[in-house]
Amino acid sequence: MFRPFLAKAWKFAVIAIVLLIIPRFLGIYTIYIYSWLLVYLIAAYGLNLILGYAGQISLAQAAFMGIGAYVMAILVTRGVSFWIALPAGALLSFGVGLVLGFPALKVKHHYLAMVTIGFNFIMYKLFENQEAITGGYYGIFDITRPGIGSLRFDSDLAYARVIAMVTLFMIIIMYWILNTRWGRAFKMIRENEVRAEIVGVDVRAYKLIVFAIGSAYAGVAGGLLAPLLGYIEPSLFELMISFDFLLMVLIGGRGRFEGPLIGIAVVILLPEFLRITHQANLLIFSLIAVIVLLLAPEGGASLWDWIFKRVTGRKPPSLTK
Amino acid sequence: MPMEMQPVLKIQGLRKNFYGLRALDGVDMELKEKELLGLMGPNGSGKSTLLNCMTGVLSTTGGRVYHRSRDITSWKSSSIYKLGIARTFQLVQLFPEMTVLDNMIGAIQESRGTMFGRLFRFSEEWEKAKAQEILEFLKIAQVRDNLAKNLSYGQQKLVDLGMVLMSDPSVVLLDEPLAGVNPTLGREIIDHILELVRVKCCTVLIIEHNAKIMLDICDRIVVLNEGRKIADGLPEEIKQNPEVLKAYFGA
Repeated sequence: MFRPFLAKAWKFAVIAIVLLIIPRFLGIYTIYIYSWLLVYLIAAYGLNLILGYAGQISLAQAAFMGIGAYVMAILVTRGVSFWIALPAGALLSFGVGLVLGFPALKVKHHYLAMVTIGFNFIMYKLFENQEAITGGYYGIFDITRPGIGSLRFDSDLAYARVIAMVTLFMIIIMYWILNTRWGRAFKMIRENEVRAEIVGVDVRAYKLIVFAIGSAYAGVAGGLLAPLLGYIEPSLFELMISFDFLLMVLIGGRGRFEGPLIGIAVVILLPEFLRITHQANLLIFSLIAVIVLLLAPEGGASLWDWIFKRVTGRKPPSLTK
Repeated sequence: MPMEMQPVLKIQGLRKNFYGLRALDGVDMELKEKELLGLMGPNGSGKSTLLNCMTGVLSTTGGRVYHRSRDITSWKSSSIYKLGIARTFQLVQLFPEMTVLDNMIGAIQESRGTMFGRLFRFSEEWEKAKAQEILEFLKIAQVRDNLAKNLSYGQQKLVDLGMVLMSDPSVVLLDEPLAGVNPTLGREIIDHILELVRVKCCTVLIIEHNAKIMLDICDRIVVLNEGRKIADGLPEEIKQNPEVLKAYFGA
C-alpha cells in the first residue's frame, strides 16, 4: 500500500540532509532568514492546499499562524514542553479552521474572502485586547527554544535545523495527502463543485477538512515562529501578512506542489536582495511581482515548466495527482 | 398472477418554485425497472428542473422522491449517487483542468470505503484499467492523458457518458445527451444508450427534443408542459395525444 510512497523515501532523506547542512554555511542573519523562510513555507503550503487545490479562498492564514504562535508562547512560558505546545497549537488551528470552513459551505469567491478577512481582523483584535492571556499590544516575551532531554536547541543553528525538519515533515504530509484520493477530491471540488457532488464527493466534508488542514499548517508555522523570535506581538499576525501568503501562492502557482517554494523565494527572499537598492526596494519588488504575474498568470511554476520544456524538450513531471 | 413491477424511482406530487415561478407543479412519475423512459416537453417545461430535484442538485418545494421504497427526497447528491443513480447534465460538466483519466477515475473514487480510508489508498490499477476499457469502448482512448478542457465538444460528451459508465449504475438519467453533437456521433451515443438498457439492464431516463428519435427508441414517454405532466404512455399513444400536439404546435 505504501510502496510507491516508500520508493521516494531516499529522495526525502537527501532533501533532509541538504536542509540540515545548509544552515552550517550561513551567517547569523542569513540563518535567521533561512528559518523565517521555512516557517512561512509551511503556512504557504497550507494556503496552497485551500486556494490552489481546493479552490477556496482564505485570507486568514496570518490569524491561524497567530493562534499557533500564541498557544506556543502561552504554554511554553508556563513550563509546557515545546513538543506538546506545537501539536496543541496545530490542533487548535485545525479546530478553528474547521469552524471557519462552515461559511465556505454557504458563500464563495469574494464573499468568502470577506468572511476570512473579517476573521483575521477579529483574531488580531483578540490578540491585542486580551491582555491577561496574550500580553496585549506588547505581546509575550521570553519564549524559550526546545530541547530533547539534556540536548538543547537554543542556538540559531540548532533551532534552524529543528525548523527544517518540521518543515520537511509537514511537506511530506502534504505530499501524501495530495497523492491520495483526497487530493483528487479537492481538485474536483475546485473544478466543478456540482459535478463533484454528483459523482459522490461529499463536498461539505471535504471543504471543512481542507480548511482545517490548511489552517493547521499555519498553526504549525506560528508555533515554530514564536521560539524563533523569542517574543510575539499582534502585529506579526495582521491582515497584511495574510495577503503576503496569498501573493506567495499566486506568484508560485496555484495548485502546483512546487508553487510555495517559488512563492517564498519571490515574496520573502527577493525583498532581502533588494535591500541594496534602499528606498526603491518596494517599488522594484512590486514591479517584479506584476511582471511575473503578467508573463505567467498561472504563476512561477508555469514559467519553470516553460524553461524545463525549452531545455529538455519534455514536460516536467507532475508532483501530484 | 401478474406481478406489477415495483418502480425503481417514483416521484409523487413534486413541486418546485423559483420565487414566483412554478417550475414544477405537482408532477407524478414512475421509472420502471429496465425501461427506457423518454421525458419530453417544450423549452422551460421543467424537464431539467425535474431531474435536478430528483438528484438533489436542487431542493424541492414539495412532494416526494422514492428510490424503490426508500424516501430520498432532499438527500445529498453524493448519497443519491451511491445508490447507483448516475446522471449527466444538459451542458457537459467535466473537471476541465484535470486529465480525462482523472475525470474517469474521479467518477468512482468515492464509491466505496470511508473518507478517512481514502487517505491510505495509493494504488489505482483497477480503476485505471476500467477507465481504459471504457475509453476504448467509446473510441476515445487516445485522449486519455489530455486535459478535459482541450477536448472537442463531442469528445467531452463521450467522456461525460464514460463517467456514467464507470460507476456501473442501475439508474441513468441523461439530460439531452444528443444536444450539440453531429448526427454520426448522435447515432453512436444512441447505440450506447440502447446497450445500457438492453445489455447492462439499466433503467434509463432520457431528456431529448428530437421527437423522431424519442418515439423510435423509448419504451414509454412522459410529456411535461409548464411544470405539469400532460401525457404519459407508449410512443404511439403520445403521437396522437391532442394535448401534446397542442403544447408542441399550438394547434
